[in-house]
Amino acid sequence: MYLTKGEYTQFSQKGKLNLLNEFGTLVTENYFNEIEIKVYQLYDFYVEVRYSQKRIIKIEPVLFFNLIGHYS
Amino acid sequence: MSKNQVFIDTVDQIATYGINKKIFHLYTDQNKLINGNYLSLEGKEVVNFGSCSYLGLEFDDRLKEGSKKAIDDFGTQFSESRAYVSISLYKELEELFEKIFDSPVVVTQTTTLGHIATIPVHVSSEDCIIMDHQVHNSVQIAVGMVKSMGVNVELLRHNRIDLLEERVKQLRSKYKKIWYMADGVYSMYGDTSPVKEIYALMDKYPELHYYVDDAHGMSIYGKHGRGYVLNEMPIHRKAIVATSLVKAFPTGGAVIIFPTKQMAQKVRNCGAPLITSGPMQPAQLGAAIAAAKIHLTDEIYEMQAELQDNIRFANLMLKKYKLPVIAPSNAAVFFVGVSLPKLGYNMVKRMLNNGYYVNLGIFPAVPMKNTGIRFTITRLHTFTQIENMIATIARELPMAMKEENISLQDIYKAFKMPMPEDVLIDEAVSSVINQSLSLKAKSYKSINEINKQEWNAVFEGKGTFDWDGLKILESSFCNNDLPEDNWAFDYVVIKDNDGKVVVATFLTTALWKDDMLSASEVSAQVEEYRLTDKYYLTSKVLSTGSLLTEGEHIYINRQSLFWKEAMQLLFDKIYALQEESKSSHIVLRDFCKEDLDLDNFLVDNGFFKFAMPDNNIVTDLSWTSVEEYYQQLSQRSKQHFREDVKKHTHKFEVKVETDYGDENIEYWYHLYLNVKNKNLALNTYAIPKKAFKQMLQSKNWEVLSLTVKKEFDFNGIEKPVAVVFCYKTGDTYMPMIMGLNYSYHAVYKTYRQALYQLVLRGKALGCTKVNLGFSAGTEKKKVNAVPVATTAYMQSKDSYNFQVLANINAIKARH
Repeated sequence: MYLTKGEYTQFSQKGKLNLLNEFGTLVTENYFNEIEIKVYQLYDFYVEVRYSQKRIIKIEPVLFFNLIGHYS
Repeated sequence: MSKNQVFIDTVDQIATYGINKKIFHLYTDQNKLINGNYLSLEGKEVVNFGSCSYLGLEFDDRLKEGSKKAIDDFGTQFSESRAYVSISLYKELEELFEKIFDSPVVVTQTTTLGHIATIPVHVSSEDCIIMDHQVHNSVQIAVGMVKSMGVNVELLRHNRIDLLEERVKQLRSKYKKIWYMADGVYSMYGDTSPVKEIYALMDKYPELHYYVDDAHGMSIYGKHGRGYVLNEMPIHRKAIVATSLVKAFPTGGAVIIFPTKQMAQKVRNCGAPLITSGPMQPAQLGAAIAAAKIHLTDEIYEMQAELQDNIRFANLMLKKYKLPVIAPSNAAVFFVGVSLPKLGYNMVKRMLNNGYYVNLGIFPAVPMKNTGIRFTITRLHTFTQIENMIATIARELPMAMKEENISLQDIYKAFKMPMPEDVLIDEAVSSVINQSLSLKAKSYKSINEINKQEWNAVFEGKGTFDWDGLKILESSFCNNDLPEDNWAFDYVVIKDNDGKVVVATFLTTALWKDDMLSASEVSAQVEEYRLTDKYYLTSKVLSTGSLLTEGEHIYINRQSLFWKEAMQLLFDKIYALQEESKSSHIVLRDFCKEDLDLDNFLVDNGFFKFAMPDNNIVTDLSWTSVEEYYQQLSQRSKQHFREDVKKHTHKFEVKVETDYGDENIEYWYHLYLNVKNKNLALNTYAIPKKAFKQMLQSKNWEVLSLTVKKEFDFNGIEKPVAVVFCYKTGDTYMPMIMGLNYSYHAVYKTYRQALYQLVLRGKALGCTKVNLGFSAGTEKKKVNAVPVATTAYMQSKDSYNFQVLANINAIKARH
C-alpha cells in the first residue's frame, strides 16, 4: 500500500531511512564535493538523501524534474 | 448457580473453546529460542504481534548483564520481608525512579500488588471511588478490598468526564475525597484517559482525586519515559500514578508515583504486600536498574521515536487497508473489531496459519459482541512486517466473514461506528450469505398473521404461548399507560424448501429490571433506589418469549440439516429488531436440556450462558388415587404432606371460579400484589390489571381459588385466601400467577395447599404434567415436582448496568 509524500514526511529521520531501505529503490547516487547524494524511488515519488561525512544531513522527497537538473 | 459462578463458567467455556482451537494457553516450542519479534509456536515461526514489550528492551545486553550480576551478587532470591530489610538494589532502583518521575516512588512486586498496597492505605471509609467502566481489572481487585471497609464505589461510563463532573457535584458534600480511577492507556483498544480534563476538574473540585494505572504508557512516552499520564501533565498534588515494569520496561515489578514523600512513605509503611509478600527477585532488580539507566539517557528518546514511527506506520496502513479499527491509537495497542467471537477465533487462527501471532480480544476483556483482533506494535517490528500483517488481516477478513456469515456492516454496527463509504472489502459478502441458503424466513408483528394450526403444531403444550395464549398476551400488553406494560411482539418462522418449519419463535421487546435474577437482598437495595429513580437499572430487552411465559420459546428442528443456518437467519432478524428498538440486550430463553452443540454454536455467535431459576414440573400424574400419589412422595415430602397439607385440606373450599366480575378481579389482583411485593426472587414489574381481565376472556385460562371454610375462618373474610391463574395447553397444566392472603398462610399453610390442589386440578383435567414454574423449588418438590435446570443466553450491547449490579452484589456478599 502506498504512502503519500505528505505521510512520508511525518516520520523521523530514522523512520524515513528505514522506509527507503524496506520499500525504496536506489535510482542514482552521486558526489558533489564532499556531499554524497542518493536518490530513491519510493512508491510514486522520489526521495533525496544527502550525506556529509557518512552522516545524513537531509532526507526528503523531491520533485523528479528538479532532480534531472541536479544530476545532469 | 450464583452470578459469579455463571461468570466463571462463561469465561471457562470461552477459554476452553479457545484452547481447543489452539488460540489460548499456547507455549513456545521447546528448544526454540524466542528471537526478536518471532515466536515458534506449534512448529512454526510466526511474527509476534502480541508483545507488550513495546521497546524490545528485553533483548538488550545491558539488562541481561544486570540480571546476571544481581544473581551473582545476591543469589536467586532475597527472602526477607521489605519491612525488615531490602537488598541495596532496591534503594538504587528507587533513587533512579525518583529521577525518572521527578517524584517520590514506591517499587512493588507487581502492578496488582502495587494497587493492593496503595489503595487501601490512601482511600478511607469517608471516601468514595468512581471507577471508569473500563479500568484495568487489577485496579478493580484492589477496589474490591476497600469496599469491605464501607467505601462507596460507583462506575462511570468510559471516559465520560462530563458525567464525572456531575457525580462529583452530587457527592462532594457526602465524601471527604472522591477518587476517580482510570487507566492512562487502556489495554484493549489503546485509547487514553483525558488527563488534562481530569486535572482541570481536580483544580475545580477540591474533593476530586485521580488514581491512574499507566502500565501501557510507561517508557514509550515522555521525559525519561515516564509514561502517558505524566507526559501530559506533571504529577498533580491529588493524583497517584501506578505503572508497570512488565511492559515496555521489561523487567518485572511496578512503580507507584506519589506527589509527596509522606504519601509514598505511608504506603511503604502500611501497604500490606510490602510487609507480608516476598520482594522482587535480584534478577528483576538488576535488569530494572539497567533499564532505568537507559531511561535516563537520550537513548530512550531514540527508542520512543522508532516506536512512534512504527505506530504511525501501523495507523496509516490500517487506514489505507480500511479495516474497522475501534479507536485511533497513539499507543502501541490496536484493536480491529470483528464483532462476534466466531469470527475472532476464525481470524486469529487464519493469522497464525499465515505466520502472524495476534491476540483475540474477547469477553470478559470486552463485551461478547465486541470481539476483535488485538495486536501490539513494538520497536522491533519492521515496516514490512507491519504492512504484511495488516495486509493479511485485510485479505483474510472477507474470507472469514463469508465463512461466518458476518458482514462488514454487522461489525461496524456492533461497535456503534458509522460504516465508511469507500470500504475496500467486498460487499458481495452479504449477497453470498443471502444466496447460500434455500431457507425462507418470514417475520410477523402479530400472532393473528400466522396460521393457528401451524403455530400450535410446534408450540402447543410448551407453555402459555400457543396461538390463543399469545393473542391474549398481545392484547394485554399494548396501549397501556406505563412503558413497562407495553411490549412489542415479533414472530419469526423459518422454513426449508419443503415448507417444513426449521426454526420458529416469538420475541418481545420490553423494559426489564436488570436485577430480575439477582438475589432478593440485592433487588431490595435496588428497589430503594427506584423509589427516587423509577427506572434505575432497567434496560430495554429483546427476548425470545416474554416476561409472562415460561418454556422453550425457540423451536429448533434439530433433525434438519440446516438448523444452524436457520438460526443464523434468526440472528439476522433479531439484530435488525434490536437496531430498530434500540434494545440493550438480547436474551434467548429457556433452554432445558444439556446441548453442547447448541451451546458452542450460541457462544460462537456472541451469546453467553446464564442460569435461570429451575423450572419445577410434576411429570408423573399416572396415579389413580390420593393414596397412590402420597406413596410416590419421598419420605420427607410425605411428612410435609401429612402435617402441612392433608391436615388442612378439609378446611378449604376449592373451586374453579366462574364469576369474572370486576369486584372479583379487583380482589384477586390485590392478592397477586401481596405475592408480587413480597417476592423479589424474580424481580419483574407487576402485571397490569388489564392483563387479568384479558386472560379470563380465553377458555384456556382459569382461576383456581381456595377459600377457608366458614367454621375455620378466624378472620371471617369469606373470600378466597389463594387464587391461581392457570393455563391449559395440550396435555400441560400451567399455574402461572398466584395471589395469597398471607394472614392465613402461617396457620393453614395456604401456599402448600394451593400447590397440592393445582396438582389435583391438573390430574382432573387429564393432563400429563403440571408445570409449576420458576422459583420456590423446595416447596414445589414437596408436591413431587422435579426441578429442571433452565438456562438462557444473552448478548449485551452495553454491560454497564450489570457491572453496577455486580458491584451491589459484591457489597451484599460481604455483609
